[in-house]
Amino acid sequence: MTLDQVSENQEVVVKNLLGGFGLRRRLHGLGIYPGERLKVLNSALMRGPILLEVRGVEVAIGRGVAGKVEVELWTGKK
Amino acid sequence: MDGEKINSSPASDSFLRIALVGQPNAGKSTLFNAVAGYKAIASNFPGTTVGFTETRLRIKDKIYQLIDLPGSYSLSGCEPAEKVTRDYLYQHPPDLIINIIDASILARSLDLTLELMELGIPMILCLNMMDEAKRKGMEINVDALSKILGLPVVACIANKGAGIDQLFEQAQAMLSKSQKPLPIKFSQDVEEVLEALKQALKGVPERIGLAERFFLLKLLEQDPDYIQKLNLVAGEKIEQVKKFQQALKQSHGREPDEVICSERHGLALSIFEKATKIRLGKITGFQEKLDFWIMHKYLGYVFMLIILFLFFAFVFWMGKFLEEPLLGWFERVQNFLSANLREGILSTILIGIIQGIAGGVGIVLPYLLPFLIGLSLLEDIGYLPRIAFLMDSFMHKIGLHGKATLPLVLGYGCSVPAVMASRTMENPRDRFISAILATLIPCSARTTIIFGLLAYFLGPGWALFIYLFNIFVISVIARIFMRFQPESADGLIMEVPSYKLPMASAVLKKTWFRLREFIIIAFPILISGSIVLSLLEFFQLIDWLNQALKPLVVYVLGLPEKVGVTLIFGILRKELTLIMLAQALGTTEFLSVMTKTQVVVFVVFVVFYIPCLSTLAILYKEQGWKGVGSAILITLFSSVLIGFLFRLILSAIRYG
Repeated sequence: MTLDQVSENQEVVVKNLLGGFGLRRRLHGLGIYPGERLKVLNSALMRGPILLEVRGVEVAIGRGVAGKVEVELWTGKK
Repeated sequence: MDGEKINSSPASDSFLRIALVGQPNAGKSTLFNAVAGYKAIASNFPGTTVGFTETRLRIKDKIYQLIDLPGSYSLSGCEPAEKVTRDYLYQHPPDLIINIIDASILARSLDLTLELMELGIPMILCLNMMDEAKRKGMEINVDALSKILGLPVVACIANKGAGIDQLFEQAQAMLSKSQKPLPIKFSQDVEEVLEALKQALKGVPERIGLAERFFLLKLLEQDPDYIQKLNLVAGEKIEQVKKFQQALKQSHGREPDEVICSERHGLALSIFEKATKIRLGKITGFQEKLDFWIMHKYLGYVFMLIILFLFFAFVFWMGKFLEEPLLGWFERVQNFLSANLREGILSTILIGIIQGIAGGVGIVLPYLLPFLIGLSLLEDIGYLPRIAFLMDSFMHKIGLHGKATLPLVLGYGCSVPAVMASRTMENPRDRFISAILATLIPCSARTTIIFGLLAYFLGPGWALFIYLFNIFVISVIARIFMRFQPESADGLIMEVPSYKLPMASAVLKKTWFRLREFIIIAFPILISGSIVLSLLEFFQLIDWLNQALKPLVVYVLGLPEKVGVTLIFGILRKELTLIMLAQALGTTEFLSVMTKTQVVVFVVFVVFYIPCLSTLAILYKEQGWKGVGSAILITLFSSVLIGFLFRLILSAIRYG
């Protein structure tokens, strides 16, 4: 599934970044890499952006961008 | 150690140069200002510093050049600010890099550190915000970090001034050693590809003038800018580079740039784990709880409205409080002069100058000052990115994204800082459109007209209607832009910084910095505009102007002929439109000389038409003639059309 389908308070692990070079680099800049664990904190109304926690930093990404981040639910093991 | 005020000029080769580089919100500008007086705007909004600022710095009797470069997450140059930093480091390699890091997010910040080390420029690491890291439950072993990276590491708390002296002493020691950092090695197979590429491109990096490892890695990362550089010098090698990129892609099953970045990221994480004893590093419970409400689906908007309402209430209350005594004082000066000076061209110019200053000091500053204070407060607390988050989905409806909220909200204060704020957008299309739209928002000068004329004579309901109608028109114009220039693919990707307690001195200094920027741009124009108008009056050209404007004013808008000149005034000094209107009509009881319909049409027209000269000047600086031309065309067209429509509709329903 992709990050825009994750509900609030769920933790996920990034599997893959689907966007092009520029998008990938901008996500990398904020610490979003394959293998990284994210927690969805809030999501805004009307397909608005979602708020994530990435290693102790809050990051907001638009719904369109989130649709390009492939994730799977975090099951608790390292 | 102290900073010396000088004019910023990039050409100063005689001093050793120290560049401050770090990720957004790491505290570069705070550190810079701590040693340079106040020159850079430190902000709790990512990407605020887009140009770079320089100062001279004295450390123990030696003078250095210190450069504050815009915050960058990486050296990929994806955003305008990052491009400035990367190009600076490449075109004028400094003698020393101080990499400043927010210690509380050390893990993520080390990616940039590793990338900077590839440049082969002597470097030291500054761990800023050590207090914040402690609050997040982290314990960082500075010596261990220094050992692993092979760089001097200095811990500091820049906003409290702690550790800054040690940092610059260390910088001086490093400059005299001029020791290049040793790159940290990636995994074996990547290093092998890198080595093979190095053999294949022997001599090329030197010809381009770039550090070898940095250049080779950028090629492997498929960075278009560096591929192009290679193409210019040794185009025949491109095929070989592609072969190596392919090799990486095949062995890792990912795009080559992702392979390299993941290598760097993996290294950064392992260094982080080795150098920290306790590494909770989670966002604090306080922030999480607060953001649950502040950025809540529904309640977030309620809080936003309350906060914005309080903000504007503060601005109007303070503005009124300051405006009356100031205007009274200027009026006395003016009365004294006109009573005691002989009428002539010189006294006309003098009165023009005084009226210009009075307009600037007496009408604009009283509103701008509390506005900028309030804005700096909201900014330093960290609320602005949260507004951007809440407004993102609405902004997408008009072809922009969340970050464009900032210029639009600022527009309600003054169009000049609003246009400047469009700099934070990533791509040129969004920068252009948000700058143009910002000029359409009724600024505080236009607000005085909406309130002083419309709300006062026809009731507050009309004022509210005008604000809502204005938002509607802006959306329509934005949708038209969307037809010509489709929405860019970049969505919102934005760090939401932690809440910070604003420091009074920082807020005041920032307010002063912005106020000064406004005064430098706007005051000369205000004053010369005022002189021109006094001269027009002196040579009795007003009637002639009214005649020239008659087709628009009388035939299209159905307003009294005498109103024409106030519209010219409005371009030069929008805030004086109301006063001029009273002068032109010879009364402040406007309803005795204008119908209700005429009042509405006048206000609507003034709200939408050409932005004031100061705004056009800053628009020229940001967007060139294209920006100025588009703004004039769009505002002129929409104001005439809307004014005419209002006239038609209101007379059709016999509003009066």
